[in-house]
Amino acid sequence: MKSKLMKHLILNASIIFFFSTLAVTQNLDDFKFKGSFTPAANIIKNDFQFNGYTNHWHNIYRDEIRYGNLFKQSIPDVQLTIAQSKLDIADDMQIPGLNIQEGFIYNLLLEDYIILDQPALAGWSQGVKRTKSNYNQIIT
Amino acid sequence: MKNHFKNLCSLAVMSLSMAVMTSNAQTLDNFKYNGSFQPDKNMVTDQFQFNGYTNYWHDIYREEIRYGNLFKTVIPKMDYTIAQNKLDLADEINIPGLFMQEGFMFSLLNEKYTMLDQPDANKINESVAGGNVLVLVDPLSDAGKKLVEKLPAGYVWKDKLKSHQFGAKDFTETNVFYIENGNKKIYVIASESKVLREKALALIENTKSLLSKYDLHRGWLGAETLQKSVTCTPGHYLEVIGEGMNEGNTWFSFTGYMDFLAQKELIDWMAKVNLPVVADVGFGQIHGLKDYEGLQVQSMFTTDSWINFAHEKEGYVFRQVYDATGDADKYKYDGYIATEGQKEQIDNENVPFISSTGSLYRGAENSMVLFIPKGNPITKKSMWEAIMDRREVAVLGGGLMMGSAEYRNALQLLLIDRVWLEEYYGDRIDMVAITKDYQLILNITNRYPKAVSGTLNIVLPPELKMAGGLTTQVSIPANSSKTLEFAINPQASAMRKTNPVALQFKWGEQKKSTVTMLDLPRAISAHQLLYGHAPKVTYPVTIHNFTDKKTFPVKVDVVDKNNPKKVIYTTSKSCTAGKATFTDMSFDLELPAGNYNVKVSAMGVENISQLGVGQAEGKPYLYEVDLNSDGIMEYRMENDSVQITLLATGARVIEYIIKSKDDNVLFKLWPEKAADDKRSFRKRGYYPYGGFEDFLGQGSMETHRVYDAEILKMEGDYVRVKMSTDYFGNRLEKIFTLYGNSPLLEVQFALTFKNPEANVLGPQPILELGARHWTEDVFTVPEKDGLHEYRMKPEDYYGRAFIMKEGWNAGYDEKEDITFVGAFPVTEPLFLHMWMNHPKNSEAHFYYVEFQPWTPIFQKTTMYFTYYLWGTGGKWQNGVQELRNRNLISEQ
Repeated sequence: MKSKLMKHLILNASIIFFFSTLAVTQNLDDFKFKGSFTPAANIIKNDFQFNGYTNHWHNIYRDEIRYGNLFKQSIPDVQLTIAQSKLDIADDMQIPGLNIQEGFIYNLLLEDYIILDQPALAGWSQGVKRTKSNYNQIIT
Repeated sequence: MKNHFKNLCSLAVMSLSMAVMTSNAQTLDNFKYNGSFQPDKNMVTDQFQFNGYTNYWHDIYREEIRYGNLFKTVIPKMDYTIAQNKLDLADEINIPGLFMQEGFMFSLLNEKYTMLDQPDANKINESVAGGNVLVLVDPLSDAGKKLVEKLPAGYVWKDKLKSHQFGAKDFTETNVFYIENGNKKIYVIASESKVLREKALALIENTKSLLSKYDLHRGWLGAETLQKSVTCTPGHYLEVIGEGMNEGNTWFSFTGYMDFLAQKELIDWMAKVNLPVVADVGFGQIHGLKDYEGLQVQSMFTTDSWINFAHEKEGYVFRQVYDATGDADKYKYDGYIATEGQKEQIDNENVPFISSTGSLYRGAENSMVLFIPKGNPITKKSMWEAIMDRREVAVLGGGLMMGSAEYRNALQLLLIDRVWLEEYYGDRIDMVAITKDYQLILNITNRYPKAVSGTLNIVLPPELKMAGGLTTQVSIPANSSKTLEFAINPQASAMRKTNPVALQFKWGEQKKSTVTMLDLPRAISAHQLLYGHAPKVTYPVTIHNFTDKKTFPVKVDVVDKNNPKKVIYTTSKSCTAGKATFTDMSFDLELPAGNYNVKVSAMGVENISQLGVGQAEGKPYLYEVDLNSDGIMEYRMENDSVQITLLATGARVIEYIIKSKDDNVLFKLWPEKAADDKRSFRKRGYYPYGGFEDFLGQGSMETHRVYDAEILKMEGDYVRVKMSTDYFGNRLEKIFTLYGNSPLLEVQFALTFKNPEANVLGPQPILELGARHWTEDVFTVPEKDGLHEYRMKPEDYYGRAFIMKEGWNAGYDEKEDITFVGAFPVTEPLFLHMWMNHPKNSEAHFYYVEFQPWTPIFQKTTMYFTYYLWGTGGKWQNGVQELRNRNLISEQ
């Protein structure tokens, strides 16, 4: 009976010792801060686009930005707005389908060129041959 | 010398050969395009920051973006704005120096912990061995130092933001964060101020307590569409609800102009797809009414009328916080309309309030959060109980909140936390659903840094079917999107309806739903009311094919109006149209004079419409004339009864002169310009040319548009002009016909539209009977409950919307004995709108009256509509009878 009690006590002591060892290992030094604050990484962005009529015809492109669900702000999608601006300018100049390469005017104004109006492919080649070889051309 | 010359010649020949060779080498094949268009790479961005005082203290962070030098736009710098918002929220909860780690609340609310106030390090070690701990600590204490040194050195955002708050003399940092070791956590509230530590703890505990008692129902009160209006804005009700649900909303109340007419439809749509979402309506200051029957928003002249109407219908009425006239203070309202400028009153006065979201066009930034007892379903009743109990918070764009501190501070703390709200509303899974033709397209995005798998369930109304199962397993890799497509099969019963489609995604313990729609036109579109002369009437029909058969017969039977069994004429044609597409057709109906019904049958469905056919008699004539010498021809139609002038500008009838009375019954300003013609953005407002014209947006897209005009018939028993135009892919055609020697002028409309915001057409005669529009002019309208008479009010403008029994309205000048009757197919408009104008109207400074059948424009087909004008001397009853004799009075 005594040895049974002894065994029981030893077991209990072992359990207590084991857990107190564990407790000792929960040292403050072992805890780490893993947080970070990078809003840009946690923004939730949805696109809003409207190409149509309200009281005039227009085109809007927006980023609807949410953060923490309840913070919401709608801001222009600048890339699409810039692209639309080129269409609007073309409209304003009354050439609605104008699609002009960026740098076209810059390059053109730096160079000499001749103008060819609706050249046939064969004629165009001959036109090139007839002109000085270093002349650029505008082809319409 | 000769040799030298020879050499020179040789050299020149060689050079020339080289040049020719070089020029030959410049072939087109050798040229390459080296351009590109990448605006983001070429934007020049400068930063603008202001932390200070204008007329209040605030902090703004902007990006000034230039492109090609002259394009410049300024947008908020979002990461800084969000960081500043956290400081502003901290200010709001009266702990100005609060820096709370994102996810702190999410973690704390999901864990058990014991609390330690100012413990030493040993005590922390000891306690954390038994579980998580929440520690309140002074960062200058030994334990505090040990805990705070776990944070990264220096708060970089403080240097970036330079917020005005940092300069406050009593600014005290309160750091709220947690540190981890395996699955053990130590939550820390560290501040040198005991008061602030305890305040932070109290806030956390209050938030925890509220979340144990309430569910947080996010919603949009005052969401706006213009689905029932001739004015235009993007977004159908179901699109707005779909977008709101993706943000976590469970309730909506629409208050756009005439949105209250959709009350029953909204309830039906939600029920059809089993969405546990409240979708209700309101208007202006009145909300939550059991119904809106009898509401005449343009005839509510007194404050009493609004209050009484709302209360009699068991609803609520709200006022502006401040009324400079003091009038509002005399009445009993149910609450305030909350705006940012009135935050102080909304926060501190014990008055219920509402805050409006507005339209998708305006960004739908505002929302409201209602605290509904935990586990209770959101219903219209529980929603209004929460509002009237002030268990509510208004959230404005940029995260500014209003409401009583108890609820507001909890939400503000959770917004600083970010993670709890995102998880609660399922923000990391994004669902955007649309339909294109008969395809249901779902774009689902997983914004978690881990793969997500779940079950997608599609709920269709009975009118729609889908091949295959309605449930699909979906796996989405981390930080990625998937596009899923499903083919929908509409049944015949789905036609001429807006059919909702709900989608629900369940992952783990979470779920998110959204909704979209399949908006379908009539399968068979035709003029529901039409007139013509014997022996042949042209009858246009458009077929929208909802079946799998590409080719099928379309049969037309013309039957006696009084004896449907007596078929007068039958014809049929074969129609070819792909599924989900439409085809325009035309039938020549050979008929004697008489009154008929036309039955068109195809694809197992039929359409019945009303047709009047008159004798081919009379000698009207037509000619072109440039009345105002602007180079644009006008078109004159004349007979013994009337002289009519058509303008290609706006395709309008500018004059309808009754010859016997020498009176143009239509108001006319043209060719004069409006007195305020040079007003800023004048063309975006209503512009008073006059005549018979349409609202198609306000200002109408038609107003200044010069239509292509074509004379179809110059002489004979009728004369006819077609005017047509195309608005960026939206085709509108009007055919004007003057019949015989009668005053009957027909305007046939055919609209093939693709822009969904242009969804209601309002054709309207602008009437000025006799010398002037005044009280001697009586206007009669056949409403559901009988004939009603209306007269102008010299002192004010007003308007009414009529639910009609028959499709006509009549005006009679009692002094000058002049009649005008307008008729239209009564089954088509939502209602007939009357507007008695007054010179005080900023858009048109004149007395006149408009009668507009506000008629939905169905897309995915050609939509047909007719309007008939009849002006004579004598009583109005005679005019109505003449139209009735011609089978041009429709009823419902």
